[in-house]
Amino acid sequence: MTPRQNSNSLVTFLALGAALGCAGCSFMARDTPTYERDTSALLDTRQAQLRGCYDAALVRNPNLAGKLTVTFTVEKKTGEIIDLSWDNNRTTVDELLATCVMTALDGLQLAEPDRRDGEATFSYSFRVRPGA
Amino acid sequence: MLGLALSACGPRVFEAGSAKVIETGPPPPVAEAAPDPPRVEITDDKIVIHEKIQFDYNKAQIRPESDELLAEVAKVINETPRIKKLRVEGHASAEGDHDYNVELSQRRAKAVLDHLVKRGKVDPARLESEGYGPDRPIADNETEAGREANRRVEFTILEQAYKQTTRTIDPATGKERVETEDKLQASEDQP
Repeated sequence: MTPRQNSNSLVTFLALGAALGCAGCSFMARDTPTYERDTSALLDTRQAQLRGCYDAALVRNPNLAGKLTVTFTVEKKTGEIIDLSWDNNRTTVDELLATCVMTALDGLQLAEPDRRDGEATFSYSFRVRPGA
Repeated sequence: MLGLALSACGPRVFEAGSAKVIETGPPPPVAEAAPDPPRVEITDDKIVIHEKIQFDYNKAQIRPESDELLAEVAKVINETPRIKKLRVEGHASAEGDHDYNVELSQRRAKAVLDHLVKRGKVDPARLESEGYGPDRPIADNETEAGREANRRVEFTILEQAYKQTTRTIDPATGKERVETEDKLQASEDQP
């Protein structure tokens, strides 16, 4: 094989690799900050429900305040939030409130899926409005 | 190269730098439980009880669980002096022998009257009793629910005092004159 033939083979191989890559990722390609921002905005659509969870929790315990850290995966191709759970080690609110939040966030889906999964961690801080 | 292609699809891992704040006002004060609706009420012509007086099966013996209810009835009567005459009425379902049911309902009505006088300190002159058996049904005797509704005790106001106010204008002077007169209203159901 001549050097020219070697060069042609390399170009063909690279083109094939690129094609494979694109075939596997035919959706939106976000960078990490954009992925985080879009996911954050998606979570914000459930703010009212989360406030409802907190209001209900305050009826049980008027002094309840604290932190809840949730983890989940934004599934590539569908944009659905899956494997939603909360991190016990980084959560201080009670289990009933955490469960309510899980239910409130369930079913969220990015309108424009990404070509990659998004492994996300978000924290919520629950508190009673100061001075209220 | 294949590795490169696959690594292009690896997950993006991210964690928000700051927590989302869920803030709310203090919880509303827990509303006090609404008081139970009264079990005993006075209408124009009745003292209505929203609970049944319980008797031993086939007897005129009042069950102890009805003591409290009857104490309330006595209290209402004693606190309402305008009620001059009250009839305790016993009613039965159409189940069984008619005459027996009339007689049983009479004995039950009398038992209630005696209870109100003895325990509730109601003036006996204000009370009378009557048993109607199945003759005045309020529900369908073909169903158990209807028969149960028909087995009941009612309190009918036969006489009650009221004040009648009359306003007249003297044509000569044009002055208004108000006269108040004590009256006694008798129930149409009075025998």
